[in-house]
Amino acid sequence: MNGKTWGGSRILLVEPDSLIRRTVVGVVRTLGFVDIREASTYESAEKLLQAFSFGGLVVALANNGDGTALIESLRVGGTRCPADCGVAVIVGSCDAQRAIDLQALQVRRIVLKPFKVKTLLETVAQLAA
Amino acid sequence: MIPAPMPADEADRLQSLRQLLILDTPPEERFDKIVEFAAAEFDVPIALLSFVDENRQWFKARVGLEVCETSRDISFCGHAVASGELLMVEDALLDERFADNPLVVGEPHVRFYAGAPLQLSDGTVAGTLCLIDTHPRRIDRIDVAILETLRDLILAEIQGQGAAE
Repeated sequence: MNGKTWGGSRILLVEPDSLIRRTVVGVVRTLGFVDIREASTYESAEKLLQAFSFGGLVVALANNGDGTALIESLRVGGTRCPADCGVAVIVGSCDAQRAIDLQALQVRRIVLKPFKVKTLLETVAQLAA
Repeated sequence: MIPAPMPADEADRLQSLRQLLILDTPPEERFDKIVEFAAAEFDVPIALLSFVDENRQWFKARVGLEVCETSRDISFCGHAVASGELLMVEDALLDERFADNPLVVGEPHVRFYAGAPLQLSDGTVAGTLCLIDTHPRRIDRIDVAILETLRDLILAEIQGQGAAE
């Protein structure tokens, strides 16, 4: 797998909720507007980011902040992805401080739960554009 | 009202349906979760996982409907099962198949219906995942893709291919 690159329009979705993840991935693949890969845990996402290049990342962050390390690793060039690649996050809540913290990580979009699948599809399409 | 036609493979269909051993079983969270998700995603008051038995449609999972079954001859799902394709009725009052259907002129006053057929691996259609609204509406190709993906998740569960998470 070393050296393989999926290119700029490939998106990685990191979402522990299998119903949301499988629905989004299924619809994206049906419509075929972007190549999407999925991870159900941060550990498996980390492995994918170490092995492949993605053009965008959508990651569901835990309320305790778990998942943020993925974005930090990406921004310091610790993955095979471009350090400036587009990132969107899914969060259960977002206060002012968290928004500032995410802004510092150059997060392009914050998707608040609960959300529509269509909202996440738009986010994926924007990152892939 | 035009009752749903019988599928040509009705005997095989009923046999396959019964082999699923799902009729008249208790509610299950794995199906309830998908149907509740569908109702929320589409903002519809009613969403159903419906299996079309010989003389009835029976709901394995349901949102917004108290009854657990209705007669097959007045069912919208029977039409989707007979065609084997997604059935979309934007306004039941304007559709001769359903305009004077008791489910349209009476409770629950169906106006909009979208049903994705549950086609089993042997090709027979066991039922549908369907959305119902009491107002006319349209859904676009992305909505259809979402509904069909949720239907596929149900099929995977029914046929033992669901994700082990």
